[in-house]
Amino acid sequence: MATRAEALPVPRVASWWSVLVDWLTTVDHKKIGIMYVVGALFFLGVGGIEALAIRVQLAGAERAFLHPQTYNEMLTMHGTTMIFLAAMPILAGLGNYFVPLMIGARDMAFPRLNALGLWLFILGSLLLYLSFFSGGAPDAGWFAYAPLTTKTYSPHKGMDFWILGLMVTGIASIAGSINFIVTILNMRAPGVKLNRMPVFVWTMLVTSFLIVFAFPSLTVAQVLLFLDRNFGTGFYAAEVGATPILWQHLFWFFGHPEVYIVVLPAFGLVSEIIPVFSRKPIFGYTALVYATVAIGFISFTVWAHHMFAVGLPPVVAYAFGASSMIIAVPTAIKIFNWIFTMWKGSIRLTTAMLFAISFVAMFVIGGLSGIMLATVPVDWQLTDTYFVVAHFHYTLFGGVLLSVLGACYYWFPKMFGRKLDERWGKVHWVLTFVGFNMTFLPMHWLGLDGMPRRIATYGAGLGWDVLNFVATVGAFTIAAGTVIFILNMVVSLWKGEPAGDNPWEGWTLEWATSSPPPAHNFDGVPPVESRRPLWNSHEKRVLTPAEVRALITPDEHVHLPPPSVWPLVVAAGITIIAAGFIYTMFVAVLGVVIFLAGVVGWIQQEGYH
Amino acid sequence: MTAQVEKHGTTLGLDHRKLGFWTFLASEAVFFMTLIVVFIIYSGRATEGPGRELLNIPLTAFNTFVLLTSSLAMVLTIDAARRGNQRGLKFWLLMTILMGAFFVGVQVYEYRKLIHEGLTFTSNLFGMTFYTLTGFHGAHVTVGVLWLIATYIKALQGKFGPDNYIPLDVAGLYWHFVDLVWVFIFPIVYLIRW
Amino acid sequence: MRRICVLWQIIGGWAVALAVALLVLGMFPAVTFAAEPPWFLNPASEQAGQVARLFNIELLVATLVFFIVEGLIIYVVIRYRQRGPDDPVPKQIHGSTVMELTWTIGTSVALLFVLIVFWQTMTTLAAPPADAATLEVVVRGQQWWWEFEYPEYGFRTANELYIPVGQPVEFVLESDNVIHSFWVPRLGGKVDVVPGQQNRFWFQADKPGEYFGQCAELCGVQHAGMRFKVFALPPEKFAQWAEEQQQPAVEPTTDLAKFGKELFFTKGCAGCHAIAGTQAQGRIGPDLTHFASRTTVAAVAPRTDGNVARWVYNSEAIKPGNIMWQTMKNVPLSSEEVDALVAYLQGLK
Repeated sequence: MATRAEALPVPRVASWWSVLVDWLTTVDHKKIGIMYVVGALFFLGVGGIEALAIRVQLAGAERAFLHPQTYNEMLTMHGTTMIFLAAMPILAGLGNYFVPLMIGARDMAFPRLNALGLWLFILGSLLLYLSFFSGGAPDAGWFAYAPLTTKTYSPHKGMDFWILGLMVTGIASIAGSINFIVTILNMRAPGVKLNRMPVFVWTMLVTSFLIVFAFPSLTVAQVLLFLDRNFGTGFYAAEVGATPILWQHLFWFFGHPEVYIVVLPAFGLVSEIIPVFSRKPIFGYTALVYATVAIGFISFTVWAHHMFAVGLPPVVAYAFGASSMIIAVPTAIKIFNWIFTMWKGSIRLTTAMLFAISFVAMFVIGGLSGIMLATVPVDWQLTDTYFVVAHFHYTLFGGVLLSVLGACYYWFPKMFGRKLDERWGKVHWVLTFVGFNMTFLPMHWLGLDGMPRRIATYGAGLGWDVLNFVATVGAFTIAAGTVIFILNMVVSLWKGEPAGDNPWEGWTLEWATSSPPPAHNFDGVPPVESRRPLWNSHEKRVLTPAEVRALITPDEHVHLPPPSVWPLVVAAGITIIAAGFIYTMFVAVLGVVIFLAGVVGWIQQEGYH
Repeated sequence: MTAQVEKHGTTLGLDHRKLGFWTFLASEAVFFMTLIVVFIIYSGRATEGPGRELLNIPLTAFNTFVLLTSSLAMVLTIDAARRGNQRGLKFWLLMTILMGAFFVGVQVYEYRKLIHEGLTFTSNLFGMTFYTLTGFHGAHVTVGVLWLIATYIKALQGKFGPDNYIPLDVAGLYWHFVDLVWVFIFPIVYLIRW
Repeated sequence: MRRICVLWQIIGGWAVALAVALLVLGMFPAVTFAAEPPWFLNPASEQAGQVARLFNIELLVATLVFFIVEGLIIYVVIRYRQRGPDDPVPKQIHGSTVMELTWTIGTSVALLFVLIVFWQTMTTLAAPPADAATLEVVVRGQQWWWEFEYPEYGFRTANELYIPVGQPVEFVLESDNVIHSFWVPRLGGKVDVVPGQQNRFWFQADKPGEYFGQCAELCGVQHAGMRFKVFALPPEKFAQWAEEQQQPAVEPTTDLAKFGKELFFTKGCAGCHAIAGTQAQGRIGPDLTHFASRTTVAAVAPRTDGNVARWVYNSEAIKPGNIMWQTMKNVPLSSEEVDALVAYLQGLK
């Protein structure tokens, strides 16, 4: 085990070039995880700024802060960014960092594939954002309904960037999911049976399966759209006998599981945080896991609930409404299990815990409005209104973001050896929580009051201006909290209180390592005999770092895969091919050359089997 | 670390690469399933212009037979590798490649003939869905042939044997998958009247 | 220090609760800021009333669940918060099958109740009564305005839909461009207007009045500008209105208006707009036969002389991105010509 002095590094002065090369060629799941999280936080900021632009535009009636075209680009990029470039990668990043640690593994199953996923996410995101500088960003909403997305109605290249940028990040997601599935199924330390895996690991496993099965549908939808836009086909054109509704089916067959793809790991995060800060094991582990798997399955049978207004036969609509409502059962099971984990516990209200509790409280609201929307006639009134906007922000912001922020406070000490400042953390929490409710609670009323979503402006005299103004103030409150969060992270990285190996008295395996963990994670196979490997059930306490270390017999030699530049090369090749499809085929040919060079280098590299 | 050591070190006793590749194929299966569903949905709606009457069923049936036989050759390749039969390995791998290439060749011929007879990519819904579905399959076969050629070069260097046949196994998985997809596409596109 | 922290937490918690409570209380009056807000829970048709009833029942259930769950959370957090660093380790409870069953069954029962009311509402809304004489209106979604055609009467209007009170109106929804969504909150839910597909939808207004409607599916730059109004009139007034609309356009009387009519043809307006009783037969833009009977210009501005003038010479300023501007930006108009066109259009009663 590394000594304490090494474990708490003050950033050393190394040549910036060697640091850069180290990070660009790393295959260490922890460094890759950090880069995922940093990239995702960056895009969270970008998506947030887009949200602020939207809110400024809507602060009052008939405002002209943004041209309606720019407004459409903002709302499209806000949605696309938050889902694909913020929520998914931040969870992939946390998963990358902590799944191997939590199951006692040394790395992910395919370290280079892991790096490939990271670089595809970064380069694909940049490709998508290149659209702003190439004639216009995509402007048809994040679910991009045809035929508004066809060449006739969206003539600039924005939609092509959207298609290809998301295809590149989509490859990243599938690569990452395959890696998670193999890692979780195949690389557990001997004692980590399936029914002992931390709930977060379970949720990452289910989410990975959802990605593997849901993304192809999006890819097909996008391929057909790309052919329509650039090769003269008419898969979505009513003129040739096709139907634009095909897009909606293909998109939502992906799109609804996608909601659970981002929300299930968030459930997992909360299921790790709440028990530790209640000093009690998770209540109803088995029920929670089954509920997760059940949600995963049901999520594939509900997609048409996004399409109640397109004219489905009533019986079909009713069936989809009913199956959507069934999801409320496993969700309720989870909610009650979290609450009863706290029941009779000894609750420490740290910032992480505050975020986790507010997640539970807010997700309930999102769930209840979701049930209302599942009943078809009510959906006819409320779909495509601000009620829906409120609903999915309560599930995605209240669900995903709050739990991710909680996880940041929970795991920052493990990742960097220093705690985030708790007092500023609480200020961050108050601003986020109050701002969140100020922004999104009024939107319920706006939806009931007939305000459709995605309108760039609205008339005076409808009674919408006051609530919209409140929402705008709320959005800036969140922004203020976010600024504090960023400053807190930057300052704590250098000046935060040293955390020690296990500052929260956690009991999952990641707390058995030093903070930050050494490159090889564990000196040997960590022994696991229960769901809480660090918990001494006789003495009812968490093991000390010294006791934990004594349990592990060090391996004689540790094999770590060497760094590799080839994932970056292959990712660059794929992205350039994608860019070539947008600009000219010549660029695509260049991309193919780089891609093949990368593949050859990848296969030939020594040190991998 | 050799593949065999790795294999014993896994929780499920399955090689990582095979498990990972199975997962990948599951994703690919959904991809083709979606394309097939699109084809079926639009078959009923595409009534104007050149249609399925142009398809040469006997030729494609023969092509299907060739592709299925190539799967058998692939099985024999891996069997030879497991038994350390280098000559058999190279022979059957080459046969697999040749049959795969033959399949692609016939598909190119078929496309040219259809285009000549008026069924193009954009002529109607049938053209769009037909070329997209069979085209994506053809592209997969082509990638498979290239992959097998790369594997063949390694086989010539004697890199595969009873201790190291997992890469062949994985290539084989892909090849069988591509064949299996065609087993669905052939009746759905060529035989059934929707 | 620790004590201050705990104190702060409790106060902080109350502050948050207070802020949220104030916010919630502040909501309800907000909808009354407008004279007639398009608040769908204040329905003006039997059909919207059914939906409002379903919503209210669900709201009741949801409110109950909300208070149970949130109350439980707040209670648990306050009751079981750690009071000091020396608090004993709590009993390690791993779960309880009885409790799991309790909330699984409890949730299922609540859902089953909602499902039954939901089904009941679905069947009630299914189709217009067979015995009543329905009025058919063809609704066409355009970028970015609504066309309403009355096949029984043989005329078309734009952005303003007149319907008789007490008679079912069946809408046939058509689009030859992108997907729109037809929605009048106080009269019924929304139905998408999909190219290549004819959706049908009906409601029957019970109270005379003016109702707000808007496109609810993102349909391009001016999605926000795709508003419309519904005027529900007593049957005799509706008949009178329909008869007026069937008349061809009135001939201009003043010289200025006559000049305007001439310009209407020489400047190319007739290429896109139709005016019954003249040569103008364009179908791209709204039918202007009775333009001056409408309340708005382009659905977004009141139909004043000033706004009509602005629309004619600089429509981009009123509705940025509108399609007419693509042509009109290349058609120079002097201020005299603008005045003439305004005079002609404003005379089309």
